[in-house]
Amino acid sequence: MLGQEIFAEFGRVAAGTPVVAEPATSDEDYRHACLETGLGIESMTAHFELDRASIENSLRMILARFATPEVVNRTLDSVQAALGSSTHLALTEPLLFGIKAS
Amino acid sequence: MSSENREDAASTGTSSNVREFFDSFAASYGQGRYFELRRAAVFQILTPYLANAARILDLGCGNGIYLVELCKFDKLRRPVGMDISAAMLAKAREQLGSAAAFVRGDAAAIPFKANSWDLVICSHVLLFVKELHRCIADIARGLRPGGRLVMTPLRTCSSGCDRCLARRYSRSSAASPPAPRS
Repeated sequence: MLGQEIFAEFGRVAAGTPVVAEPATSDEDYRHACLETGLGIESMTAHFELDRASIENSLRMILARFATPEVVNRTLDSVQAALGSSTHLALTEPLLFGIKAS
Repeated sequence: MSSENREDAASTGTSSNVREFFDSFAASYGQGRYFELRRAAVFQILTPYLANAARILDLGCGNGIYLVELCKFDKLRRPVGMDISAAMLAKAREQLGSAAAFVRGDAAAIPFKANSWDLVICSHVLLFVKELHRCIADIARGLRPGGRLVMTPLRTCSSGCDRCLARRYSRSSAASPPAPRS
């Protein structure tokens, strides 16, 4: 997926900096936590599309909070490479519902 | 406890660097086309549930970006936003005024009564919570029968959201975050 490609590059560039650790919480952790507390679960996915300029601008803004200009530029270079000739990107946002019984 | 406009209801557990980190970009958080479209896509899914959700908690409301959208739904009672970052809450209050109520608190110690909420929104929040099971148990207790918790994302999202990056940062930088660059 695009994000993985971006952040594989980002991770390589950021090696040795504070921006390296991966989140430890998995999908299953969330599901188990819900089920153990008596919540039913339901998964859904939100879909949206973003044009190339917008994703580059958004990433630049986000990354600038964490990384040096050199890292930002290198990451954006990898984004350019990952995008290829694509003008729009299909992105997803996974959602998990925890539902309390009626 | 009542949920009306209280500050510092609970501020324990979550590391201070997460709070400081989010304090640092309260003014710009959630801006940009990427976030706008992502929120719109999420709300498209949430809309059917909002019709029957009078009491809504945005847990980790940040600067109020979701609350602004929630307040467009007429049937809602005044939604409540809770966040650990004072700067984020100040920005949220600036945007929303009295249209929403705000509580400063830590998701590790949620200060609400049982059976309070029809919908609890946790957008890019739970990945910062060390005691996930306790937090979700607290949320479950706070939900009314039939109520829903919606969580996002489940893990590092494919589109590289800033909170995922923030977690990477916060987990490995215990004491002194660098100054924000934007």
